Amino acid sequence: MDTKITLTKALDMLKKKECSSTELVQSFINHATAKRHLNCFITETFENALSEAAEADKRIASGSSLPLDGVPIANKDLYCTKGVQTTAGSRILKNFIPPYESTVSGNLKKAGAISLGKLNMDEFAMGSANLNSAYGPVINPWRPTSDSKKDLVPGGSSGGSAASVAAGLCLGASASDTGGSIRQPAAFCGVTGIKPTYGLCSRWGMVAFASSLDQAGPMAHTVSDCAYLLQYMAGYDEKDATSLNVKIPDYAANLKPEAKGLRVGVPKEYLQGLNEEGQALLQKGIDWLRAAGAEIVDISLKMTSAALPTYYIIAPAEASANLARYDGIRYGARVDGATLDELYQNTRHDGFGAEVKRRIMIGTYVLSAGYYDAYYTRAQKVKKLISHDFDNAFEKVDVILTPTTPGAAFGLHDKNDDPVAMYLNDIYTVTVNLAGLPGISVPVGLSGEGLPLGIQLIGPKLSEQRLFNVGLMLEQAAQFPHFNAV
Amino acid sequence: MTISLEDVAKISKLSNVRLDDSEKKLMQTQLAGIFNWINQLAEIDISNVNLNDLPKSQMHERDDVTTSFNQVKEVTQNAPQVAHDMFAVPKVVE
Repeated sequence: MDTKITLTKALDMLKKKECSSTELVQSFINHATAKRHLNCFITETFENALSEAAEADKRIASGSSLPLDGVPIANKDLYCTKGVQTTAGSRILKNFIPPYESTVSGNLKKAGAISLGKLNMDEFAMGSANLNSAYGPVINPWRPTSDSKKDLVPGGSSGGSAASVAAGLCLGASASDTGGSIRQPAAFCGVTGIKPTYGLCSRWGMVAFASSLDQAGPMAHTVSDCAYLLQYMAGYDEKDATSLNVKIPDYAANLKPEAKGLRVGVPKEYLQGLNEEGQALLQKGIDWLRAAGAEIVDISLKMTSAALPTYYIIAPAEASANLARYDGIRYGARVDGATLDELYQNTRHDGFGAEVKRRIMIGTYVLSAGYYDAYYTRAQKVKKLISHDFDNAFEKVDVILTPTTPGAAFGLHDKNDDPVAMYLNDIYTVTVNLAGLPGISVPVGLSGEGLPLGIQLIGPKLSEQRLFNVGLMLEQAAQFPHFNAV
Repeated sequence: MTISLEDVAKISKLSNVRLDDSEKKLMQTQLAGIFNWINQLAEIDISNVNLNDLPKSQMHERDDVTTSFNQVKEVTQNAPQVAHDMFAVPKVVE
């Protein structure tokens, strides 16, 4: 059967018994097998998925189906999955088989979703193009109209998650966002992705990169699909001390297009340096919202330009601490040495890729004696100023509209040796992580080369329902061709 | 901003990531570029920012109760080298 369907549609078809979970899962397995060249999966669990589909069919037949019963999804390889290899895209965790399940992937399983496998990603979630994986790059299923043979990046770090949904290899995917790693690849691959409020989803069992910024979230074709997935991914977890003890709304049941009477802020700093195509896209978003009864308000987020450098102090600092555990002793790869110290140094030399080493070095430097105040303390203070910017803005507006990325997906083989140039891909997304706010990217247009472009909505803490509702309004106005790359 | 090869060697040691000589040279260039870019934060006025304000939300603590038992097998099953139900490491004591 056709994989050009949304998760929402599949749920409806399963409920109405128009197809079985076994048929659905088998179709997606066939499609995923045919598209192995995209390199979306690090580990496939197709056999297990078919067994779970058979169980789902029994439950559906007996009238005791679970909320996401029978729906094929996949998990970013950042989530520890019991008995299934979890690598975080790194050589240092090759053949690591977690003895426990992460809360987020476990929640999806408990809701009946069926995992087809573990998705490729930038190593330890560090990257914006899925070029930093030890298991090879992921290829974006979209191609530019000027060159149908040109391979493009899917974005990162959740490149496998974005590309697998866009290519119709699964109906939804778990992903993670520390500086934009859900929203940016969502925009590059023409899918929807939401980074929820910090603390909404548990980080237990999620391989840590930067603990004060990491957040789990879903990617899927549409806003409705993401609403279904987030509802079951999220929730209080006593095993995560930063987990928010709040009731998770029924996002899907409460989903309706919203814009009338809403105050939508457009930050002037996000327009500086934005190319013509980006400006035109943003203007379309503004026009749709205005036509639907929203009030557009010019706002200023004056700390915007400080966000990326702040992120590149705080995130590496936390990463240098979180990645200290990879020492070749308790799990993962090991390279022997004459002494214990040499063992650590050799293991980490061989096990980590270049970008990970770079960020560990940055983090260690900014936390070292003599530099801690000048860098780390200063960055924490600027982070507070960034939060205040948003607090002040949300006194005047209900939601903020921005582009998700500076442009469309770029070439896989485009040469660029400057790490900072890669970092600039997250220019519109990192502010949201630093402030702990929710942000959604909705695909709303195509570039001159026929490539997806996304628009971002940012809301106050715990405003996910509003983001879904306004996102739905934009999705309906945009009529984006969701299945062009399937 | 200058970052010397000695700085790179010192940070490499602190972070327990061995770097070959060629890697050290490349890291020196790249880190200098990154820090040149990061150093724009020095221009920002942070004089009125207080990091000691009480946070708006408190991290919750769970009860100090043991919740898992006898997990030696699970804990050691991924270790590259195990001996006597313990992680094996090179000799550290003379």
